[in-house]
Amino acid sequence: MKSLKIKNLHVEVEGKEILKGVNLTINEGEILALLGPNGHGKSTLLAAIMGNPRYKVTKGEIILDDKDVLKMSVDERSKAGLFLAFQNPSEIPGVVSADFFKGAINAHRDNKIKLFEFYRSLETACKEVNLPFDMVNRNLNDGFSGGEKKRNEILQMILLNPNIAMLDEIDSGLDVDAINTVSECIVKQNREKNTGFLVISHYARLFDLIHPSKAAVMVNGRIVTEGDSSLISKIDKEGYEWIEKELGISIKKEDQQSMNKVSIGVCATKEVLKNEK
Amino acid sequence: MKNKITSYFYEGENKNVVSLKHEETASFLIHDDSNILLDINEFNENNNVSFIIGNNSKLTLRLLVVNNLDDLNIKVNVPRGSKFDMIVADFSDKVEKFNTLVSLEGEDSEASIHLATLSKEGNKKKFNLSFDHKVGKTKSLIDCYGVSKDSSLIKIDGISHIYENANKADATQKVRVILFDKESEAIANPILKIDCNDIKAQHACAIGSLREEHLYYLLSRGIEINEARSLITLGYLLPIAQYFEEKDGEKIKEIIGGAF
Repeated sequence: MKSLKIKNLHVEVEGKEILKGVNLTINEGEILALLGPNGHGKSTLLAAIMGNPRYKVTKGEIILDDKDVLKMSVDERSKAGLFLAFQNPSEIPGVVSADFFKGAINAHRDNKIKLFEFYRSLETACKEVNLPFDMVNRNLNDGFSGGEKKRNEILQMILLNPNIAMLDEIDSGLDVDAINTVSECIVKQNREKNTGFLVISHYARLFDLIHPSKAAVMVNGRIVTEGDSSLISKIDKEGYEWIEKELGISIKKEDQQSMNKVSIGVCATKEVLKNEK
Repeated sequence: MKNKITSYFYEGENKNVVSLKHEETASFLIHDDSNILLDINEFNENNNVSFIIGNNSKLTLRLLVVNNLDDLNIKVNVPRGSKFDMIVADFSDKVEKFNTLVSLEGEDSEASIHLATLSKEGNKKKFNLSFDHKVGKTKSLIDCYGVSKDSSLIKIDGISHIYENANKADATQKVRVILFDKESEAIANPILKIDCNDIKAQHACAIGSLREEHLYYLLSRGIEINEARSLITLGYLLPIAQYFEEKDGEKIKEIIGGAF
């Protein structure tokens, strides 16, 4: 059985340690719900697994089927069977979606996909995620609504058929019908292709539809508890306060004071400095 | 002849609306109330070309530049109610000087320049694209995309001059250049010279390497780094092909594809 094992993972961003020793295993065919308060490292974990260059792994291991993921480049991780559906997918003007999809599919194959097979796969996937087929002629995510972007992520998951798919708040920005559509795609991929899922969401509705087999809670950059789907129900009803009481962990509040430096325009350039009022 | 335009082609409702005089400057005269699409694909190394557009006319000039240019000077006069659009796809090895001066001389006249340029293998490309808003209610646009790679240079000066009393003039300049490697260079000077208060003007310039988050997104789908860079860069230059006929559009795609 294929599995993704994360052992004692420490990750920092711009010198600040976010993950402080994460241990987690996701097996092929499982759906693992990853929960936790905002700003406690869930998205950082997914970005570190996928190899986002902003995130620096300072300690620990990520192993996929006995292969050291940390030694792989980002594209090699994808080809090894990892997939990340982004919380905020990039809009890339000028890159035609169909060209991008074809490049991605070919990167996962020894022989280039035939044109007819490509368009047939694309048409089927578009129907599954309920995106119009002419979307493939548009620039990648450029001008897409929030819901279209999320469905486009799931479309790519279907086309690339990964062993382990990581979904970062795939339900945010989706209306009720779209959540149902995306959930059906996840369940189908899990049942028919045996893909393992690591799913971040703040809403029980998504989890009610995809039926996770396991759940884990991340607090202060660590997995503090794991269990079955009853853990999701408990958090949905009670929030995270019980963790402080039952596990004796003080939950740090989300850091609200850090603000990025920004520049606006060309003529009028303003730098917003930390602590500036 | 020094300034001979060696090849050009135009489409219009009446074949007599364009005339070409070869003197010190090659001059195209566009008659009143005409709608002309003009392609020029071959130049001598030194050219002075002028376009004198009639009232209430429209001229679309398309230049697919693949041969080297030492010195090309284009002057355009746009009178009342007329429109001039210039589309330049530059894939030559050298553009020593490419100067364009568009003079908006009558109210309700408009002009635009769309440029896509690829500078590679140590090329040095220098463009000076200028608009003079001599009267009010005139509108101009400079929209440039460039890619500089293999220790090459792109220099784009865009100068929009809005004259005194040119009320309600509207000038926009946009320049975006991707530097493909650390040795390549781009210089962009979007300049607005404004002598009138009641106008609208904006300029924007972005020069930089490929955006890291864009590359990361493509890599995360298994696309290798060089292919990811090519995809993004093609996306920068390819849109210019849409302005050309299918045959030239395919030629542009072929040239760009061969460069990466």
